[in-house]
Amino acid sequence: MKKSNYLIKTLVLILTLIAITGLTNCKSTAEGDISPLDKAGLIFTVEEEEIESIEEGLSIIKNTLDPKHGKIIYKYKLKLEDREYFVYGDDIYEYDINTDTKNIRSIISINETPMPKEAKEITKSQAVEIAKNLVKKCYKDFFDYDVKIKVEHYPDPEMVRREFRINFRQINELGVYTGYYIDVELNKYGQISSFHALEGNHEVAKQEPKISKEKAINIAYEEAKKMVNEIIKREEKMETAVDEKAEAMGWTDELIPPGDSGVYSDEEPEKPEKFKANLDERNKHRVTVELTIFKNILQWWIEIDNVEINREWGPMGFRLHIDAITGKVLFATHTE
Amino acid sequence: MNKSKLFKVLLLSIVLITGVSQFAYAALPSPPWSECYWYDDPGAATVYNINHNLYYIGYDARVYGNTHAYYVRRTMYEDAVFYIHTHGYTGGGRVKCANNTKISALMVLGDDSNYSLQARYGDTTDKLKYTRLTYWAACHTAESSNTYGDLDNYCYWILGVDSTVAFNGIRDVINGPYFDDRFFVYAALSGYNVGDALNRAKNDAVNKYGYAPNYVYMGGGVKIKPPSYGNY
Repeated sequence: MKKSNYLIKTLVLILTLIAITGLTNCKSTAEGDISPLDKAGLIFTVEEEEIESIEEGLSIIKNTLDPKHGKIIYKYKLKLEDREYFVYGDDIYEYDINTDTKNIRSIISINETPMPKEAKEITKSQAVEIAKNLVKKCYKDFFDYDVKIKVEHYPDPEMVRREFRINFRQINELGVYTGYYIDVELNKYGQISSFHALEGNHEVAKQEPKISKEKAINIAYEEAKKMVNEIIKREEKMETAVDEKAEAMGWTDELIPPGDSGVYSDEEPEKPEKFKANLDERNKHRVTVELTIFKNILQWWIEIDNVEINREWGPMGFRLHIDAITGKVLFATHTE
Repeated sequence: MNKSKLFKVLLLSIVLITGVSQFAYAALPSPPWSECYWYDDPGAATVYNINHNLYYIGYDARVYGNTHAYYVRRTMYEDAVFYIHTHGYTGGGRVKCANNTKISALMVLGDDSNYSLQARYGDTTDKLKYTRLTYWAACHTAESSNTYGDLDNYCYWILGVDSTVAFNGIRDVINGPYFDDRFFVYAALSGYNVGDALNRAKNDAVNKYGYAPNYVYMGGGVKIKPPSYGNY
């Protein structure tokens, strides 16, 4: 009897230890009270005053697309900068509705679309027709303007859900992109993989730019030079930077094995010369310029490509968005 | 069997089961690792956000700056999620690491600065079979070079990584990292699969900047939430 009591106590002790180990392994990973989802703009709570708009969004999807992929439900609100979208989903797709304009911003397949009964691969022109019909459903007046259509076909296993990519950009009578931009991706059977739309502004697109194309290009080049100076600074910083992983793992005293050559080198690695980008010989660059509306502002979008640099990762490119009225640089970036 | 013997058998079973299960997991770190890399040039960008999101859902999330290619490559087999933000090369097949070293897909015998995946993992039994996702956040990483190979294809088809993300053509230092950040919001925090998270990330990048990087992926149905290692 005594012996069995002892065994029971031991058993209980072991089980308790296992339970404690399990509990301590399940440590909380939360940081602060704000959920990272909230911070990332994915809001799952519903305010009472939103209920009506949510219902309205649901009707818009049903009336516009007449989807037949199971019940559509409201999922969450997506808050990106100054814009908000309601996200809905059925068995196959997610649909985003712009809460201001009540237009469909996107359709995204989140599950494999069932194979059509008579699976038939489509041609490029059929893909364009399917995409056009979808655009007409979602934006009835889209083709009242001229539209520039770009079609890409990727018969590649890496692109299985996105075999056809059709991009539509609306242009007004002044040759200005109105900011209405739609990108449709289809699989090889013509099923929609995605639909992404940006809404522009026809009124703003009628504005006359106060900054000429030539002046905008000059501004872009000046800004590109500033970016080059930033790269120089970053490279200088990198020369003396600590290898954070070697330090964290305690490997700093180890000799680093040679690369694929397998040969240890006695020579000190050569210090690369200061970073240079040939921004002066403009005739060697590929410069594309367009006037477009984005976020209700008339902008010059300028890309400067094929810029020679003294690094193996070159040639590099720059992209600038410049306010066509004020000349302010709204966005400046370069290739990585 | 008397009570005493029964207890002994029970006790022994518990000890054995606990021991064996510990041994089985001992081969891989727990929780699974995610490793994110960045370089002063082109910059850390959104890598700390990405790392935090991976940490939040339970990965042993590690983030390192300015790491030599040898060290990056050294622990890839322990990564459930691998992310590197750096420069890529025209023609594809490799990315830049610290001290002008590179990671490539294929071995290039004459190249001192090159630390290829083939040389390190090509002949190993396990290769990178435990990795759920390798994310090559740099220009041209989806492209195939006759000399250096094809990073995403090599990882997926030869090394057994469950899913890969790479880029055709150029990315830029602002839009690219924003796209990556949004991808990990959807794939890590929300639990979308890789293909769908990319699709949503594209949506957000277009919304913010008017365009998105030209990504490609393999293993689109794979999820990185909850944290776990991959399947062969």
